[in-house]
Amino acid sequence: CSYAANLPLIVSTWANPGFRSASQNAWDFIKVNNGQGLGALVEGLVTCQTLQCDTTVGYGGSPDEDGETTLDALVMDGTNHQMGAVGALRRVKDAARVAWAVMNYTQHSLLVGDQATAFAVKMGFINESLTTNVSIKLHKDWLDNKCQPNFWQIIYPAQKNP
Amino acid sequence: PSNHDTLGMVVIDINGGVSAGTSTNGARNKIPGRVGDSPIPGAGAFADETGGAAETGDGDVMMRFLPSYLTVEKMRDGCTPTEAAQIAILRVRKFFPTYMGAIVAANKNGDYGAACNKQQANGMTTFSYCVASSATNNATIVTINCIDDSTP
Repeated sequence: CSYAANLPLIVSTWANPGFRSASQNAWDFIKVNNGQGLGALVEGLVTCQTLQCDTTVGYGGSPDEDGETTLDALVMDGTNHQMGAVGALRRVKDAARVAWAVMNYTQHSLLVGDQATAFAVKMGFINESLTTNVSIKLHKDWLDNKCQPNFWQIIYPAQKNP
Repeated sequence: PSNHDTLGMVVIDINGGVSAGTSTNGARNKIPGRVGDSPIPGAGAFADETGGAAETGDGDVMMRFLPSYLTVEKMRDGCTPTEAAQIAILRVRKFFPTYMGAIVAANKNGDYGAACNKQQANGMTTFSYCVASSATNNATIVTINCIDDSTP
């Protein structure tokens, strides 16, 4: 079922403390900045990046096979179909605001990888490591566990334990 | 499920204007260079003048179905946010019965809802998300039961 709520309205995935803070901060923002829906959205996304929600948002989590954390983010304004996004963003913490900058300061929609980093640096974002002791340990434990689990298939030597 | 969590958010402003977005560090132990569903419009999130949706879960699988786009499209056709999200969840489930995924949705009138895929043993059977509005005045937690093939 669905429920009618009074506007404005924030709805967001997950409910662990960090995720709930994201929802709360977005709400607090929109309450004092009525009509600033996109600002509230960015505020919510940035909250989880800062709090590293469940180490699944922001720096210091989900290391890839090389131990590096890379970030994906999207902001979309449905009123006039504006959007900005970054994929595999390296060495910049605030992926949501970089996505926002793609939307506002370019005519593109999606920038990726090292070139997205270069764009972010041009826009004034800091180029810094996204690795923490937490992500170092996650990666080390994965190596110690013979790289299990992983996302390879049909390749020799067998990459995935059954 | 702590491996594929992503923040997805939908905001309806006081005038019914819709925005939606995501932020994530992706799947743990991903192959370097991997990009998930989160930055893909219509996959990780989508917003238009009728409503918005955002998703979380197995992005590698979900992005092939543009579930956020489908959810918004179904809301445009008159489905409630929950009905629309359920249709999108089941669309993926038809091909990937055990995937982990959830969608939150809201329309410009302030109706909202969510759906998630019910997994087998040890998988996700409920999903919690947050709602904040002047009705709640604070971020409140809503927990739903995930759906499976028996859902109409």
